[in-house]
Amino acid sequence: MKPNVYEAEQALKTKPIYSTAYERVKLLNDVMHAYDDLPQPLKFSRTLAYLLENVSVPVKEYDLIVGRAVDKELNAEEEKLFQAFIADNGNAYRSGAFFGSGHSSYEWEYIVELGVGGMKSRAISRLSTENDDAKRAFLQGAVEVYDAISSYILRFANSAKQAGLAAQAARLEKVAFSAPETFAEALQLVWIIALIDCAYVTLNPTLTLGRPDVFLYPFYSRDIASGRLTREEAKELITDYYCKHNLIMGRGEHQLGDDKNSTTFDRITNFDAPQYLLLAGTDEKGESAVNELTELFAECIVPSFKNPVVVVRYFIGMDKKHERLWNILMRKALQSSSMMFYNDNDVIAVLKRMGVTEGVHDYIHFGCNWASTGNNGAWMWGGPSSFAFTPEMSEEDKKYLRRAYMRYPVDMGWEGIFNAALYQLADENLKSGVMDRLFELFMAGVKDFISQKISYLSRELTVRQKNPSRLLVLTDCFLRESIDSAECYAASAKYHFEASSFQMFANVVDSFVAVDELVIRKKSVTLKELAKAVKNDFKDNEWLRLACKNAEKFGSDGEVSNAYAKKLITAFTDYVFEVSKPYFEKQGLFLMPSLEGDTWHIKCGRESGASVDGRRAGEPFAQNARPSNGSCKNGLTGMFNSLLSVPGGSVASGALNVDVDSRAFSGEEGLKNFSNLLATYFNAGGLHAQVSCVSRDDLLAAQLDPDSYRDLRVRVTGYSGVFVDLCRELQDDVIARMDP
Amino acid sequence: MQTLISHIERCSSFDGPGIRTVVFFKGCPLSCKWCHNPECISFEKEELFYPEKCIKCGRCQSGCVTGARVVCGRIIPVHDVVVTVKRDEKYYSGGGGVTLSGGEPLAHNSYVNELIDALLKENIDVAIETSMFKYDEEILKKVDRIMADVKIFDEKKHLEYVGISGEKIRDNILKADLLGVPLTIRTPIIKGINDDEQNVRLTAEFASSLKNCVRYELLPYHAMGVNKARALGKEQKVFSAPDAKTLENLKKYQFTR
Repeated sequence: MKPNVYEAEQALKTKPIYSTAYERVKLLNDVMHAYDDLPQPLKFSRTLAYLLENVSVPVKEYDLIVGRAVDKELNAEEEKLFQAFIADNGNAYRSGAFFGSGHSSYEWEYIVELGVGGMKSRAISRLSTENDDAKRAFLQGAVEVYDAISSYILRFANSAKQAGLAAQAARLEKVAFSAPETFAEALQLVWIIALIDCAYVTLNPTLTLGRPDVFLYPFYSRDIASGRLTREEAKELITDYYCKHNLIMGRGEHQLGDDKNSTTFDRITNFDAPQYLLLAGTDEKGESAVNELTELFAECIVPSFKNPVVVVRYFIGMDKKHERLWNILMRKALQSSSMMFYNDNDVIAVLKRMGVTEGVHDYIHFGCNWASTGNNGAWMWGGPSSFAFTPEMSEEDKKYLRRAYMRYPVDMGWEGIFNAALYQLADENLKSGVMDRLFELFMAGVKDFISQKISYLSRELTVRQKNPSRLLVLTDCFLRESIDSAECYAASAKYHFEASSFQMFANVVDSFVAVDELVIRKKSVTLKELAKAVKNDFKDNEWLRLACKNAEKFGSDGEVSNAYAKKLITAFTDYVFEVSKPYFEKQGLFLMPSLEGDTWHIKCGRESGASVDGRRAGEPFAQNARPSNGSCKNGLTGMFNSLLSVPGGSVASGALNVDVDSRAFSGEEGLKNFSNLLATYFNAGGLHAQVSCVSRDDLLAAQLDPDSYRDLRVRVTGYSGVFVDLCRELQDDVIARMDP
Repeated sequence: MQTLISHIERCSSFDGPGIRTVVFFKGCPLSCKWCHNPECISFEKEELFYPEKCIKCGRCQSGCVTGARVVCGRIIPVHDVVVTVKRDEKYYSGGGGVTLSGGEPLAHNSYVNELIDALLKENIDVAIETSMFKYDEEILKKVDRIMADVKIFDEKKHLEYVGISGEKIRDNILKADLLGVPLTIRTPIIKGINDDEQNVRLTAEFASSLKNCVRYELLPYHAMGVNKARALGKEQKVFSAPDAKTLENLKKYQFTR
């Protein structure tokens, strides 16, 4: 094994849980109040400049791509300073010097086309024509950020020189100011910029790296044609680049872990949140964007790595059109590599249906499986909030915008909406039309929530747009439009969106089926009895709970459950499109229909009562688009067929964990079978899949002897987890996924 | 006698090439001591009882919902089997299809004949997993592939552990070889019973001598049948899988052609 791969693997396995990017904390502490009198864009640029001027710039003798950050375990005195820093409301993150610019994508084509110097010249040119003070500060801040980046790159160049890495040093000197000309230079620049964001600026960055196979291809093909680069050399560069992404990871699980079992974002900004790297897909003409570089990026995936998450944009027929690439990807998938597949045809159809016209084919996925329109889209929950833009907002706005209207807890618990509908229906004593009425009551609750959500979002955006230049975030420095408008992307992007997820989809479908089967068709129980039992967490009524549990389930490819799934998702998405339309036309704001619940299925489950599908109070719900654990009685094909009852082009995201027993698909024949299975699912319109290929027995053994199983990787939601670093609840949930 | 089907398993990757739907027939004339589907031996409807799942609700008569009492054996019209099979039709494109298994499908020749005709009419690949306890040319010549076990070469041992003549089975396989249908020969490997090199070598030589044998493979023993036998109120002896080293050595006799 090459030393860079070994080092990255070891970092994932053995990095101490309390490892901390201490230099960042110490340096930010030095200048905590130094720039308080400046407008935020300058406070940001100067704080960043101080940080980048003083952090270590280490180089290892085997670095092909240069750029590392340092973290370490702290002694008592250092720990004291760290604790004081994170508790202080004046720290760089709390005071607003640094705003999260995460969960976004940069305009990577622009970055590699202009280079740091070119982007700076552009900002200076724009500044020369600007008279507005706020905009001038915004642009001045951006110019200073470019300068800080240039200096930082030069510092690495010096380190590389001292380490005897002449070629690397020359590349760094070049990209410190000039636009890259070679593949190696372009990849080097991409990494340094990602490093600054992920290791220093943004807590929980989940930066999207765009489609490097597309934006780096001109560099690669030029180098190959001129003989400046071989295919093997390109692979070595890409592998080293992947290694670098793993070195900046922390340990643990960011949503369910705590500071006892996790590194946390305060200690290592990137923590366990990966970067998303997209490959393949279609271009603006709808034709394949796959090229030779797509294969190289795929070949270089190291299965034991967590980072980056490779998002393969599948398009119908890709398996046949690019058979060799598909085989490479399938081999990697069956090794539980950190990768996922999204279907271009579905995602693009959703965006087009919403009315998105620009950059539809440059959509991205980031975070924990959210789709975005790409460079021209801002996720409402990412970036600074309205309070940062407009602290002096009206009392009325404050009243609304302080509500946790976007996500937890309001966006959770659609099973709760179902139960409310059930209880009301039980009191109505209907003689007929029960299922129609249940559907009507449920959808009324859903619609009420969705319409409130988008109205609050609109209000939020309006407030942000009152002072769009007040804030500068790192993302702005890498978006043409932000520099042109001298406005923060979170206020002025062309499109603004928020995921609108059908939470606990499988549980809701299963609950409809259970009522239909047990109350209406079999008459095993009355609606009142069922409602009472659910309210009481099935206390003293285990028979009824099991009857509910063993009713037909979404995921088994049953006709009734498939029909309810289709009916529910259609009604939901129709409404999401309908309610978004006026906001989209007015503000470019819309809700992105999805089946995404991240790992909230566990947190929300913990806090929720029993549900009609036989789930006890406190138990996890189904995750994302996946059927409830134990529901896929008819194997993977049954599960895929159930998922295919969700009409193509209705939701843009929603992770489907495909858990595969390695014995079922071993050898070349197994690979062929699996490739065919997955391609068939996608060619029939399947939206998403990510594969964990581990055995249930190994996972159980790992719980007993974690140290011997540090190599086990499983797909969690958007990201991969080191199984033994997940919290116990999540581990148990992953194991339960593997039940038939 | 009405044909009973034990269950239909979808998305199998173990029972023939590609992704397959496997129809398990109930009833088998053999009595292999390690049978992994003991619920498919009797031709009658049976109930498997798992006491650990029973909540003593007293509602057994209206149909158990707890999974404690599982009825095995349903009459399913041919048309309904085809409907189930076709739900996964799109996944069969990589060489998959349907495998008729059991139990012993050739013990249900009338139904199986009808089912094969219906499946072939739908252009679905049909494989049959059979003990070859009998030679049924009408069925065997129609299927796309035959998978048959040669469990133990020694006749005396075969009679002891399988209950019928192994020589007769091999004779039937020889006849089937003349039909031109691809054959797969398999040997379940049970420690101390048939994991000796001579047994496997002789079987491999027999398989190799067949003109249409495309594959010879070894299937290490697993104890899947033990719990099911217990649930049926029967005791099944627990055997062992071969040692890893032994199996590795025996694997040299496997072939695909």
